[in-house]
Amino acid sequence: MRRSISALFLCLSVAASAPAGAQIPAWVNEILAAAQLPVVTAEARNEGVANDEIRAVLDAMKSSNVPAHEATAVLDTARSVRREHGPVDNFGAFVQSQLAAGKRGRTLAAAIRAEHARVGKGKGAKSQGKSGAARDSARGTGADSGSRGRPAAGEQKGNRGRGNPVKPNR
Amino acid sequence: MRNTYLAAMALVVGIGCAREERAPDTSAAAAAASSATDRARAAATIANAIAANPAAADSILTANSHTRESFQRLMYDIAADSALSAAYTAAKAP
Repeated sequence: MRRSISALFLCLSVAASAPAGAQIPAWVNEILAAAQLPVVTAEARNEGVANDEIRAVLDAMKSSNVPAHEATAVLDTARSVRREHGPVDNFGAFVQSQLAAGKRGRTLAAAIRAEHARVGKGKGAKSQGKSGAARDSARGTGADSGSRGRPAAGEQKGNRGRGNPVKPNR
Repeated sequence: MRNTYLAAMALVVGIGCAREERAPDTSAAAAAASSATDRARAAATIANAIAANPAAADSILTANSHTRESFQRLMYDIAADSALSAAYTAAKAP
C-alpha cells in the first residue's frame, strides 16, 4: 500500500513538473529571439563590422517587413560566415537584392553563406588571386561599388585575422 | 569714456544671452540621448523579465505599453544605433 502511494506521488510530481518548461508559445520564442537583435548587432560591431553596413542590412530587412527575430537569425548567420570567409563588399546592398528577390529565412541565410563563400575577403579568398574589381564585376556591382579595395574591417582596426579565425585551405 | 563703458557692458550682456540661448539646446540633446539610453535599458529589462517568465510575456509587454509588434520594432530601432545597442547589451541578462 505504502509503495503504491509513493509511486502515485512520484507520478503526480513528474506529471506536474514536466510540461511546464516545454509549453512556451512560438510567439514568445520569437520575442526572445527578437530581443537578441541589439546584442547580435553590438557583437558584430565589436568584431569590426561597420555601423553603416549594419544599418543598411537592418533598413533593408525592416522595410521588407522581416520580423526582428528573423533579422537576428540573418545577422547571426552573417557574423558566422564572415568569421569563416571574411567580409564582403556592399553586404547591405546584397541583402537588399536578396530580399527584393523574395528570399526569407533559411533561403536568405543560405544565399548569404554562398555569397561569403564566393567573394569573402578572407585569407582563403585572397589566395585565389581574385582582385576586388573582378569580384565586384562578377557580382554585377562594379559600377556602384563605393568601397572597392577597402581593407577588411578587422585589418583597419589593427585586429588582423580577428574577422577570419579559420585558417585557409592549402 | 562713458560710451566705451556702456558698449563693453552691452557686449558682456550680449555674450551672456547668447550663451544662455545655446545652453538649452545642449541640455536638450543630452536629455534626448539619455532618454534614448534609458529606453534601451528599459527594453532590456522587459526582455529579461520575459526570459525569466515566458508564460507572462503578454502581460509583461502590456504592462510596459508594448504589443508584440511594437516590441519587435523597438528592437530594430535599438539595434540600428551603436550606443543604444551597447546600453541594451550591458543591461540584458545573458
